[in-house]
Amino acid sequence: MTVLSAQNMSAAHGQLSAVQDVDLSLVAGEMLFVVGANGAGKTTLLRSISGDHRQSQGTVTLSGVDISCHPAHLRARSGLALVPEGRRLFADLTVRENLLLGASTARSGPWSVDAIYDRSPNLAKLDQSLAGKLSGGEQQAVAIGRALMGNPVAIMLDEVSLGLSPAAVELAYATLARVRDMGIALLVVEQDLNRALATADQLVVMCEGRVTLRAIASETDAAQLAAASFGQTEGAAA
Amino acid sequence: MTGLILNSVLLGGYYAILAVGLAFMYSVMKIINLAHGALIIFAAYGLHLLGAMDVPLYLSIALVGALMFGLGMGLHAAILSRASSGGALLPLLATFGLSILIDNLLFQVFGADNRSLAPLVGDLSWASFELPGNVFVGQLSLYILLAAIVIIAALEAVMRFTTLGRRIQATSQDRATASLLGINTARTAAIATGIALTTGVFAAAALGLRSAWAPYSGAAQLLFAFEVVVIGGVGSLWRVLVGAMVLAIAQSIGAAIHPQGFLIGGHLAFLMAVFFRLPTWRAAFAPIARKGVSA
Repeated sequence: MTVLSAQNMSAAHGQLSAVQDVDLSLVAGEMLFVVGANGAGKTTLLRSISGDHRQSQGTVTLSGVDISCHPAHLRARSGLALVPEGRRLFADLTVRENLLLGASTARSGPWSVDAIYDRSPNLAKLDQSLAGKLSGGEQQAVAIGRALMGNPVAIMLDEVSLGLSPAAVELAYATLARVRDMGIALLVVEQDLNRALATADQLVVMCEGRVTLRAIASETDAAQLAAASFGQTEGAAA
Repeated sequence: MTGLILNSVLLGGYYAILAVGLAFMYSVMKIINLAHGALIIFAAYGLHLLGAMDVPLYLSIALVGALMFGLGMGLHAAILSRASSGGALLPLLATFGLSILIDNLLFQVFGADNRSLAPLVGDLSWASFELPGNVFVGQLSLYILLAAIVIIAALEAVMRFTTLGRRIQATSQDRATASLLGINTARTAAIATGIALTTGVFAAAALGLRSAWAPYSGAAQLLFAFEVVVIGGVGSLWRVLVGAMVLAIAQSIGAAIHPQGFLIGGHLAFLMAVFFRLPTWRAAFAPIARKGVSA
């Protein structure tokens, strides 16, 4: 069953059209990667789906409910979480306070601060630390935890590995694999093509706001993805 | 000397209660509410009206408090949220305009008479405690200082330990991310405005009980509150208390030096605080400060 779908999504920054006619859909427990060069419109696409940026056209459906007209906080309350680029934790608040804020969606579900700490004991030790003082990897873990606290059905993550050490990236993806196994749909924006190939179920390549390639991870390779990132669509199933 | 210090501290309590709403509004919404003084005077008239109808003062404070809370939420929805989306200058202009509107409306309705709430509390307005050493402390001033401490402590507790407080902090630090977490940021900011205006009712009661006011008294209250916030600096609301004490002590020292020196002493403390906060001045003072430590 389709959990998250975005149809005919278009979004603009003033006169500049950043996303044009993008279609996506994810079923429960599926991991879809969006890759592409800088400025391809990946972040704008995620922000439009989350409601942080108002789409100029398109329909967002979550668990079969049309949420296109809802503002960001109502989209979050219907079960759609976004882990933004740079994590955007509340730097002056503690790890616990950041996690508790994730529960603002008022959705029922398995997640609580204790449940998060059970799964990542490293975070439990940082309970009273200010989020602004954490390393990038720790911040990413808190950001993912904060998203889970809202008991979402789908999580979107922007630039997961940006600015993280290789070990921290490894840890973040291990966490995401567990999240997927719980049946949460994951929409991930990633710069690292090899990482995307190794982890994704579906892949979408964007260039200049359009989808240039759609593929199943096992049926494509890095060269094809790279070519599509620069707009070469020949031979691809776009 | 003891008397001077004690009275400065008590006066500082009044300034703190005056400034706490302004500081709260600035720290959570980055809005400098220039209508703060006018709104305090507005609330004072509310207390006065209810007092004239024989409503007990504590009940009047609760009723006017509820009114100001609602007014604050409405004010945010109607004016502040729009103004603050248009840059830093717009809220200043909007609240300045609002203060003129309130001042003149009050003048139109209530006339130019001075009013006071002192008659409502009988001899409390001049009663005093005698301390050893023949020092007298005004009871009312002491209660005002205590009220200031309680209000600041209560606001700090709300901000730290409640869900609402966390949401207000999140909204203030990063509004976009807060709404991505499911927080209704418009409503949260409106509630914060309501809280800020509600604290103004206590300021209105303090003002009315210790002295008198007229429709245009708001500007003077705003000035003191503004000086307190600048001297104390932003961050914890406890800084309001520090700023208020510094202002009151500076004023008292000014008055001790010269009969006209009361206000000038306060303004000098304010200017020194402003200069101290300028990065270029800080840099200039830094070597001197270091030399002072090593010597």
